[in-house]
Amino acid sequence: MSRMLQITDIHKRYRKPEGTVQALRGVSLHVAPGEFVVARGPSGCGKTTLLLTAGGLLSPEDGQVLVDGRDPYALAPEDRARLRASTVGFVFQEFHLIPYLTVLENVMVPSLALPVRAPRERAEELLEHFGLSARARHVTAELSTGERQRAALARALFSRPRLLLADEPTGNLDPENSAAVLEHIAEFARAGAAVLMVTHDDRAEDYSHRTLRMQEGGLVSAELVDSPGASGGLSR
Amino acid sequence: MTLWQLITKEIRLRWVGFVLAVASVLVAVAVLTAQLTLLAAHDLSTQRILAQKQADTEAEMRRMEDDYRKIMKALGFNLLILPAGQSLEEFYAEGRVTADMPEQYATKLAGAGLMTINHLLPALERSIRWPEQDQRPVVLVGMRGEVPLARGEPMMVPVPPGSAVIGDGIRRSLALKVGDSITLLGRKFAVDSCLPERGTKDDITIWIGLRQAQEMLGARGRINSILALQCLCEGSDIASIRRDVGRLLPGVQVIELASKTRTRAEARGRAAAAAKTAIEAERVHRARLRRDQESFMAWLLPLVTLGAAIWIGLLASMNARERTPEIGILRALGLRSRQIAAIFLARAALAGLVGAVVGYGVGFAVGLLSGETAAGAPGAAALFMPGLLGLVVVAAPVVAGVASLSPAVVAARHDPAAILRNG
Repeated sequence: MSRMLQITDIHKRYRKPEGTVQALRGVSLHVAPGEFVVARGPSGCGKTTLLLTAGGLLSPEDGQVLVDGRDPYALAPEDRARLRASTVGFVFQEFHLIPYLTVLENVMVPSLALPVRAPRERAEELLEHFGLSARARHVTAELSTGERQRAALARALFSRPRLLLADEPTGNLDPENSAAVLEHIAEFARAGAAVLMVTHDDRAEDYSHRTLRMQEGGLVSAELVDSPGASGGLSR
Repeated sequence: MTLWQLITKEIRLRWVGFVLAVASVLVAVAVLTAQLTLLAAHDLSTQRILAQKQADTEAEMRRMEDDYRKIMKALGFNLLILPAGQSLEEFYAEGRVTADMPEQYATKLAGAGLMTINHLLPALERSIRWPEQDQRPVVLVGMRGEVPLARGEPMMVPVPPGSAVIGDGIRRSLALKVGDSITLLGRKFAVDSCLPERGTKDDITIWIGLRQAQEMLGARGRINSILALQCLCEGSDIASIRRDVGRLLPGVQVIELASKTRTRAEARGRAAAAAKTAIEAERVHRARLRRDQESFMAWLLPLVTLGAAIWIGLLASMNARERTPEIGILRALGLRSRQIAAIFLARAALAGLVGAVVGYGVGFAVGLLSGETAAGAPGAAALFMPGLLGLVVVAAPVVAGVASLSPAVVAARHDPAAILRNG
């Protein structure tokens, strides 16, 4: 089985004035194409660090990360940025939408990093899929929280990434919106993409193939669950 | 979606910071443009003023020349009446008169009541060697003063008996002063006055009374010239005077002295020199004004430019700090560091460009409405400097970009992981 994301024995420490914090301790995991993996754990257990390291944004001190078979930290910064733009999509709890752009423009921002064929049509297709067509010309301040997260998800999927990294994407959402977002992510995985989501939302387990438990920077267990199915996914 | 759209939309959101950056460039460019416009206006005004002065001077000289001509015409001719046997070739070549004529001629002429002659000065002139001064050559002139005419006051007071008037060359070589005594041909004379240097034979001339001169030169009752001054005649010619004089004194020769021409030329020369001095003084004054303006500009411009650059740098730093989360997500989405830097540099360059164009307009208007340009001499078209506009349009964005370079580089080097981890 091919692996879109392969993490092997990575370690990461943060040096702070109050002392060194061991954020990751020998974490190893993999995510295959079409697989939706959830990493759960309490706040401060290293979930976000794991995600940033997996996305080529935070170099580990030890261990290796392979994204689509390539080590992003062995690449030059420009090539690493290109790998991120072409292969990885990010979703964050805080959305990080750009406030002065409309929803449509926010979705199209990844085209600044990687040219996409017919970018407007692609963005409009995503907005329609996420039920945001009516909000396309609105700035993000005019959106509800759920709409913002769906817009952020649409942006993450704009460049047709093969690996989606989601950091607490339902953290600020009500149950209804959480369910909608999780369903969209699961649908994306069913379409063949690899998904690694870190969360402490236990509802995520209902949509994932596997759930990893994290504690104090390490993985403590892995659970296999029934596949949520691969039919009816978003076209990639 | 393009970087340009990203930049312009961000400016629309945070327009206050952008306007402040534009304003700082505007002020710097406006100061530069206004100063250079004022200098250009000053230069044009200087050219205009000097050209006007030159034209005025030439007109004044023409007027003065005309006035002198009229004055000279009113004064009449200065004529010299020479004895019948005098060779004019000798007179013109050597400047001396060797023949003589009766002194009575002057009296006869004066008593004839000619309306064309106003003043008559009979004289006896002879070049001699001064035995008491090592045979040095001098010109001895005996003057009778003016022969009384029926009208007018005498023009010249005769040299008193026993006195002498000496030329400047004699005064200097013998260290004489008024009151000193000289001995000439065995007679003592008191120095009555000393003439200033004339650069003519007058400098080696001694004037004494006519009677004494006739005795000393053995020419009693003889003279060798009559100077006729202010001779008036119709049509500015001397033919009529010659006819009048010839009728009374057969054989004498009447010539016009060069004094009129010389006087006119000297007057014109003095006027020209005075005008030239005035023009030069104006030129120096204008140059000093320009230097003052340049000195003012020399310290004001760097100060304003530096202030604008610091201000733009501060605004860029604030903008970069405000956009930290945005930088984090853009980096996470795969934008390269140079693209992040380009966003900030292009924003600064745009502020520089807008500030340069508007600043040029403002500075040009201020320059036009101030000082000498307000006086209305040079027009806007003459002062418009396309080269300067081109320069500021290129330089202001570059300076603004350089001022924003450090914040842009810092923004481009932001660690996206640190930004995203901290929310």
